[in-house]
Amino acid sequence: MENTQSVSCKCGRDAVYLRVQEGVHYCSSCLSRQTERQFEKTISKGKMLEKNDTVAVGVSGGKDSMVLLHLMKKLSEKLPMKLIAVTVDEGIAGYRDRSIEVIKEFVKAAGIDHRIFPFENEFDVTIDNLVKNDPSIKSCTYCGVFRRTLLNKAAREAGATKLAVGHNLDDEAQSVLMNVMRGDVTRMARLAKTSEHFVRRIKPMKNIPEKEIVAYAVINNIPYFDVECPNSFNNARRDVQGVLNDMEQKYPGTKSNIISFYRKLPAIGVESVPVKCARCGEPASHEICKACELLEKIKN
Amino acid sequence: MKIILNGKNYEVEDSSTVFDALYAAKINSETVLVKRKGRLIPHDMNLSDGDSIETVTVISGG
Repeated sequence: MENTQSVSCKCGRDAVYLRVQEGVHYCSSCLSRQTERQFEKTISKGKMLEKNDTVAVGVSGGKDSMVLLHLMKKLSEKLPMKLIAVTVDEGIAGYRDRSIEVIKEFVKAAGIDHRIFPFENEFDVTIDNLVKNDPSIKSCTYCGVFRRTLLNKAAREAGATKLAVGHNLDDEAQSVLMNVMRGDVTRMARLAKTSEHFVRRIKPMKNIPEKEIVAYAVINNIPYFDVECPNSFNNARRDVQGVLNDMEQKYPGTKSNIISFYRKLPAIGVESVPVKCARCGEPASHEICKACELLEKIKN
Repeated sequence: MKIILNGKNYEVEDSSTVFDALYAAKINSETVLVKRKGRLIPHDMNLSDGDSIETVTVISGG
């Protein structure tokens, strides 16, 4: 028997999404509008953008960064700014090369300048080579540090005044929990502050749940590369993500509450003083930056 | 009643919702969106006998 029963959005249209925590249903139009409103509100509240900014948008080809690029492009029609899509190519064959194809097609249609920065050119390593030489290596650590360094450099070289990244609400909740698990108060303090040695990183999607970003991509036909990194198994963030999803399913609102708790904390009185790395000149919290420290480890 | 989730058959109670179907398939409802006939549907929507639904994975990247 065909089911004709549907659940309605408050506007009367058929709902496509339930925000469990609030028990509110959204149709595709209202969910899209709500997502765009949240994106703009976060930018405005955090004074993230100014007129005529040059914004480097970090794009991996995954759903977060592709939605971010789409939203930034849409916003640029209201707020004049120059957009440059920047992609870090970590050197993971069959993964990053395929996601870059998705980006290329998108930026070509949208008329956005796109630049690719390979690990190999900058660090003389690829993640594939690291894993090949030592299959037990924690490649996510190397990848994360090198990617952050290179994204900042890419943004600076592109003359960007801001570097936009696609971190969502789930990523933020995971970071808070991971810092608690590590007892890392310094990094916790840095979550809310940006070093002046870095091109200012902005996270306009930090208040949007991951699930709603995917819904937005599906509703608006935004293409994205939907494959998990082959090296992302056995990584702490993945485990935390699983725990948080289990908790969220059982206790809706858990992720938002973790973020809310963190943001309500008074400024933590522990702060690292950023300096320039004595080797490469990139921002560092110690004499030698983490990227140079890891490169040294690889050479040895 | 019978429903099909990602091409597999599941036996669920009459008037089951998407939530119930995901539970039967041991899928965390936080990690997926669900489509029926190519369109997203909310997790609390009731399903009917013979409904075929498919998931859209939320977690990707890395």
